[in-house]
Amino acid sequence: MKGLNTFRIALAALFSFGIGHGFAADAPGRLQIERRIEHDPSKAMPISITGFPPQIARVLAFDLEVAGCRIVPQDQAIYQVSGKFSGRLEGYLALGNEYPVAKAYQGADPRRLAHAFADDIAMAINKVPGVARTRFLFKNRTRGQGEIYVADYDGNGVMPLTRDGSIVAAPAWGVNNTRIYYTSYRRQNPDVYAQEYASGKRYVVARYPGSNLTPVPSPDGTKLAMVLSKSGSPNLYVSDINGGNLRQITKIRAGVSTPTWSPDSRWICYTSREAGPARLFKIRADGYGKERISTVGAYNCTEPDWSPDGKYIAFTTQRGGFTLCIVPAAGGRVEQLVSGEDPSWAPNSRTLMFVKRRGDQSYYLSLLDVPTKQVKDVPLSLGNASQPAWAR
Amino acid sequence: MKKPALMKLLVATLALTLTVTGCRTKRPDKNITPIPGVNVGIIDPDGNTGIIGEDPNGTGANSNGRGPGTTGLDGGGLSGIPTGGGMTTVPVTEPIMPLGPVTPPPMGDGGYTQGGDIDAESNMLRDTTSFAANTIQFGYDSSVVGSAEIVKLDEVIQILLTDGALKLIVEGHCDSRGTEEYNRSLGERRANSVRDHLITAGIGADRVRTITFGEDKPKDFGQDEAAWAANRRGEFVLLRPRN
Repeated sequence: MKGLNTFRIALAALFSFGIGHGFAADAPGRLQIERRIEHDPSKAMPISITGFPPQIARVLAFDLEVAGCRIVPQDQAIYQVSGKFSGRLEGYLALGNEYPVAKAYQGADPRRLAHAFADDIAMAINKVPGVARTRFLFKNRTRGQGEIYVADYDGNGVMPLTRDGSIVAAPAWGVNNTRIYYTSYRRQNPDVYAQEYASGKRYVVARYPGSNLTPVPSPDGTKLAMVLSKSGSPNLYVSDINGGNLRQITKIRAGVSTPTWSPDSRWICYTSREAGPARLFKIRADGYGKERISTVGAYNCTEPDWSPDGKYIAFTTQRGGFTLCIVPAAGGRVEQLVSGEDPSWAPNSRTLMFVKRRGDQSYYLSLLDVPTKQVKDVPLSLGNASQPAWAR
Repeated sequence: MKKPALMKLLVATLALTLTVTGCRTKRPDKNITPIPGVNVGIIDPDGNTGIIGEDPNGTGANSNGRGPGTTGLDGGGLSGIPTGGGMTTVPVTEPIMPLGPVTPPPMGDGGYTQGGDIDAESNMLRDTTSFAANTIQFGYDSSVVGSAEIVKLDEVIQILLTDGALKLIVEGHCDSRGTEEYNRSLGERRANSVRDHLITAGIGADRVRTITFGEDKPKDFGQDEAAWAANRRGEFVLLRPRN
């Protein structure tokens, strides 16, 4: 009886191994088990977290949910996260009885150690960097005015970067994240400012008559794209990073808005009304090569953001409410993602930060894992946050 | 997982096997799947850690023959996991931006020009009441000045034509139903559209300035068609010379 049960168990074990794994023969009589995960990448990855104090576990859970995981009990998990924390964080990521991650982290505060571990986990699972140690700019708006802030991607470490008590708009990073650019109305006109991130020193780089909007530095840090209406309608201009050598790039009566650079700093994608409804166009920084970007399935398209890997353009479409979309950078069929607006790509080209609205005047920020469509709100202590710009 | 029942059986089998044979069934030089770059630590009974140097084969050549030390995990977890010393320890430094060496061009007043005329306005009086009744209303997502609104424009034109010392700011506003920067641009287009009419009527281009407020300054904070319609507007600010 006992022998039969053991046999049955062993057979069952061998059987289930066969289902979940592939076998490969190495040397005669020796089996190497290849771990193959059968998991639909469009579904959240079930993962468990054990062994950490609550403060660490909470940070890990948030980071991993943003990375497209779903926290489940251990027996339902494909990956298991475990470890301990005693000033030094020891972390393991288990996949069956293998350890894609087995590392200890020290030399920073617990939150940051947890973020470092989460990034290693995200890389092991997704084969794409995590975003747990990144930062972003945003605008906090109160009635009639606003200020620019920076924060960690998870809403911690919020710091003001302006204190003008006037209207601000469209913050953007520039020159390897050493500067921020934005529009401010502090001198009774929407003017473009460049501000050194470290020192807070700033200069006006565009104060032309009319409005000076949406400054966007090129990824290589040499040029600046802006929307200026000095010629009589808002059009795309490109200058040097300090505002010199200004050139008008588009001459469209119907007006343009929201430029975004290709990662190689050669092209600018923007929204234009020249064809009727708001559509995406792209043009080279020298003013030539203008093309419409086909967006099959989206009627109007605004606020584009070009992914750092160059492959996709994220944007907002509006039909009733707002919907986040992506389209291949060369144009084509649009994929609608989730409700929301004004997307900003993470450096990993996988996660998006975007804006949601409560009622009509209250904005807040949220994170989207594009492959799984999993959404996680950014817990910001400030109300009314919008216009995110993710540092790359 | 496709076969949860069998999976449970497998886990049970493993647990049973490990319980029966003890935690140290896997010897580093035999059964541990090599993880590139990870040092598997050995703890001897005195608690000394023998740190194995980077071993590309992962076979633990320096091992004293024991399996990986396991002190068990807090809160219970899978047994048999290597713990303790000998792990790769990664110093995680605090974030400092920027990334890498960068020599950007020095900041300076590289390109902004003009603006002088905006500064000169501080010598003039801002009058927001004289033309309050002449606010131009716009249709949804439109910057066209409709025929019903033209009569309001005509009044403004007449007054500016008669008194050459007067200047004007046209403010463009939107309802909140578009995205923020799109609305900022739309507000500017509305202001430009009004300005175009003024210039066509003979008012000098340097006498009319445009400014957009997008959706930042609604006239009506309501959430209905009437409120939105009221917010889609071009407002006039008259600038009078100080006497």
